[in-house]
Amino acid sequence: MPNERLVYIVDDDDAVRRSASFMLKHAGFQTRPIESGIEFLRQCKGAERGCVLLDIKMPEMDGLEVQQEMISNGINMPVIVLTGHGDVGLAVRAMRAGAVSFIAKPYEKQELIAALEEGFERLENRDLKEMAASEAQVRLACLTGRERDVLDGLMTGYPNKTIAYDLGISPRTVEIYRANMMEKLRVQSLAEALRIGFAAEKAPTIEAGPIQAK
Amino acid sequence: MPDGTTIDFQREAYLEALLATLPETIAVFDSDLRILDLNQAGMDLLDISDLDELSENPPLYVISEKSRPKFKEITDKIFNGDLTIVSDAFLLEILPVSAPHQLHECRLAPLKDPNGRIIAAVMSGRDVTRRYKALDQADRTLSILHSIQTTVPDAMIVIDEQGLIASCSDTAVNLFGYSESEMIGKNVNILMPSPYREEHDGYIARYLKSGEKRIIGKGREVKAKRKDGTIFPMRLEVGEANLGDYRLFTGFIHDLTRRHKTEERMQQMQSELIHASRLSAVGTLASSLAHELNQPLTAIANYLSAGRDMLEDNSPETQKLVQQALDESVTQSIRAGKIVHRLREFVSKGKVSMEVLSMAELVNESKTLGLIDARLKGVDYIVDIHPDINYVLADKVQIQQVMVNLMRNAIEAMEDSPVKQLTVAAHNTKNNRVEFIVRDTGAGIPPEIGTRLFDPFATSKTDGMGLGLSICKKIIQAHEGKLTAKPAPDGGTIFRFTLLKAPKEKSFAE
Repeated sequence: MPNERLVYIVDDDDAVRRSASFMLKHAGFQTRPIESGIEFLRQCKGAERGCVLLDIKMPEMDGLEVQQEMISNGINMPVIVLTGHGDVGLAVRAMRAGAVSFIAKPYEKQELIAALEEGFERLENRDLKEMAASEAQVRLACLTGRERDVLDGLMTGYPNKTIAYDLGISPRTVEIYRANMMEKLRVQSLAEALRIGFAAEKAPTIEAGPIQAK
Repeated sequence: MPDGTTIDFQREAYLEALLATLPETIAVFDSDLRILDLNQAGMDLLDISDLDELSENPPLYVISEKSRPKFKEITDKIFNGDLTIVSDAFLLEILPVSAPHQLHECRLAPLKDPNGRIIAAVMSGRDVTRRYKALDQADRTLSILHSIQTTVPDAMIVIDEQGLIASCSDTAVNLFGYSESEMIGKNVNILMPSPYREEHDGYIARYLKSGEKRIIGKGREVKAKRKDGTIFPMRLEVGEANLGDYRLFTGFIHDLTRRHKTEERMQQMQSELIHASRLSAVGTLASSLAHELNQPLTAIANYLSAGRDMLEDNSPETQKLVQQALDESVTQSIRAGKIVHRLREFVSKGKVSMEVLSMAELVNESKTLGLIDARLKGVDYIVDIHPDINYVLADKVQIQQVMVNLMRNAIEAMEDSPVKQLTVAAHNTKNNRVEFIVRDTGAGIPPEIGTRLFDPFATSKTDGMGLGLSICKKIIQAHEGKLTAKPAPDGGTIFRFTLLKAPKEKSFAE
């Protein structure tokens, strides 16, 4: 296959590394399994660029720390964070730090491929993020106040229950706002919605008009 | 035959001799109670050798004040003619002049002249002091015995050599539900359940023959049966009374129903506490467990989704890859299953059951939960099980609870330590024991905890209840072992406990 797309699989669990590699190879990716964040940081300098599947829970150096090191070392590869259950807060922090997406273990193959596709899109077109900044605000403008509140809560890393408590509404209602918000933003995953939200935050000084949530 | 005079004389002499030798006192007195005649025994009482020596007559001083009314009453009857023949025996307290007081059994009879007029009375008196003293003592003993029988808090049953019930206390009546009359004379085995019921006669016979005491003077916990058929635990103490040529056995029976119930309740509460502590340990493990289960599940999903998409390709190379993917999935399923299995076992509420267990297996299984997130927390660990380690006699779940607890504690203790080295070891010791050791490089036991380490509610953790170690200690004690903690020479703490070595049982191996 020409122009094989390279995926770094950074996970401390041998079985996860090997199985992900097996699956991605068959899906047409080139893979490089690495057993720790430290090892990845050592190898990636000047290495071939690719997408990074980064496990968030690892000994010694966790996924977030690896991501921070990458940023400070100027390693500009798209990161997709792999999380366990109940790690939404960590995932949101990774998103804020510029991760393309986050995926909870265990995941559907399609979910991972879709995230990787996005990652490679960003890898090939490095301006994508900057372009999204102004566009993001436009897209967010169509949200109602409550929908925006819910998105803000999610961007802080809160689970539905906490958002419901803070807003004084039921978790079920939060779910409805959340679904509406995702539909209006035309996104499939929470990660995408967060990305729009974080991109809008990065917009310089454009007056956003009706987006005030409070 | 001799004539009348001769006979009279001989009769008088005979009477004289008889009176002189009689041990009983014989006195003749008139209606003024003045003594007319007195035999030798009577003289002795008054300490005289002739009636003339009497300082006063009648010598009423020889009869105690207490007895005088009785004496007066009988003599009045005699002289009034109300008693024509001999009186019934009556007791007088006699105060001999030069001897301690005595009790005399007396009889009176009127003495008439030829015209039938009552001219005197004859009194006989026999010293019965001894007999009455003995009787009195027996009486007193009997009444003491009776008061014991009615008030003794434990049930008391006396049986003879045939095992027949000779006597029983009121408490025995209450305890067994039989009335006294239903018990007396019956074989005591009616109060016992089988097989003791059938064997009890044999027990007595054996003892009578061999003299070997199995229960007498020792006491034992046995089962008893009430009239309504219910069986209850009791403590039996047996005493033996040797009455010359035969023996009586007294059994004291203390009903243990209540104590047993309390003990049972205590045990139940204890096991519930131990179980609750296991559940709470799992609670703190929850997020690590989820992570540890997610890893194999992720691998399985990876393999299966790839395999699914590869099925369309029939080429042998691809088929081989699919097979490989499925094999790996199976391995990972088993990995997940093992964790779930350990967890299920750990939270199970099984009864305490002592088994012969492989110490090596115990340790290896415990580390699944105990060291579940050790690596994630940056802890470097060694598990060193001696290859020749013995089998132990233990309750699997409880011992693993202690092992898991000690490993978790060690990992937690090293949270802020620069060096995080955990050593888990197991080996044989002298004196037929097996030792388990957990050594950490943490901050050590805080001095404010010190000796209270194993007390309930002593904790240095902000979110701990402080029950873990106290429960561990209880568990190990119940296994006749010892749990100790001491500072490690180069910082940190060493926890160790011992278990009894068990004989290897090959039949247990799969």
